Amino acid sequence: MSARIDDEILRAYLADALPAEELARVEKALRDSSELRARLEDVRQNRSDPGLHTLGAIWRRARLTCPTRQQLGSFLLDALDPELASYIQFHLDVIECPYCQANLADLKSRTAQASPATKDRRNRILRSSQHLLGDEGRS
Amino acid sequence: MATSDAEALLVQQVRAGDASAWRQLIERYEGRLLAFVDSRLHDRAASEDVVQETFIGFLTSLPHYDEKRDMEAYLFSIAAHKLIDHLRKQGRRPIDQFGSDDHGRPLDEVPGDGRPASSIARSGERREAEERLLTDAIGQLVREWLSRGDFDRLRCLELLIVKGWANKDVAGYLGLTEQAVASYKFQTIGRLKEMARRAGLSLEELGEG
Repeated sequence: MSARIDDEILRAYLADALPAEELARVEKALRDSSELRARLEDVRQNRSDPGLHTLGAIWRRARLTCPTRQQLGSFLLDALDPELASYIQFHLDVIECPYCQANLADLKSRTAQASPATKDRRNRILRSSQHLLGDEGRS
Repeated sequence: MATSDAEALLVQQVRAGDASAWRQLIERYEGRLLAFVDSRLHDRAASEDVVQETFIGFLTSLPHYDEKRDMEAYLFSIAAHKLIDHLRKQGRRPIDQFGSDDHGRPLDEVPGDGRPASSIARSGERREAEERLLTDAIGQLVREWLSRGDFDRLRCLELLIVKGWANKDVAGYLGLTEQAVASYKFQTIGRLKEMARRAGLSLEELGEG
């Protein structure tokens, strides 16, 4: 369903909270339209009209309907009330919540033991960041 | 989703330079951040680099981090910023959206510019008050719908408000009449306005749906 690009969609774009397909659609429209680019700047500067769309930004930011990670775990195990499970499926597939999709993908991968590649990756992060540790403790 | 006591303790340990706490924090969040970034980039090596940058950004921004803030949301916010930096370097973003913040601070902590301070303060205070009110009010409604299993209403409002679908599209998708969708919307806006009125604020700009 291709909705008009309104301020709510632009806010979600600025927060990088759009699904990939929608992101591509907005980027193309921004390249093609100086009017839309001006409106994006208004949204970025909070100059756009408040209203129902502001609720969308608040809803996303406060993650009002995101299930907890525990609920997502139960969802994976098919251990939830069917109505709640069906709602979570909707939240993942139709709302396309990127944070819940990421959590679910992570939970799925954790059902297997951490692979040597995963351990290597985490060690690489540790090595690259460890020198920053303790900066605050010393100050 | 507030940060738990256990997470607050973990952050305190990281602040004190505890390497095992830092490893624990990385292990806890790295997977979901990688899934989030890779869902955008579809490039595993680049996604791993962005996640690495995210954790470095987290440590760099630790002095600004409020432990009451949800840790996952904070990390996702840094990851989104790093992701946009990465996309911009690749020329995949049409315009400069955020300016540059080399310290990895999340988007909502990067100062704005362009307007006089007094005007920002006045509008900022009102905006913050309205946003707090709206967050509490819509949060209360969502909890009510969830507690009584009113998932039709929840789906309907989420499609209207979060996805920005038109009434007729929502009605078609959910198998409801357009009148039913309009009615859900009208009732919700009415209740939000009533909650605002009781809190001494006006939300007339929400319209009548």
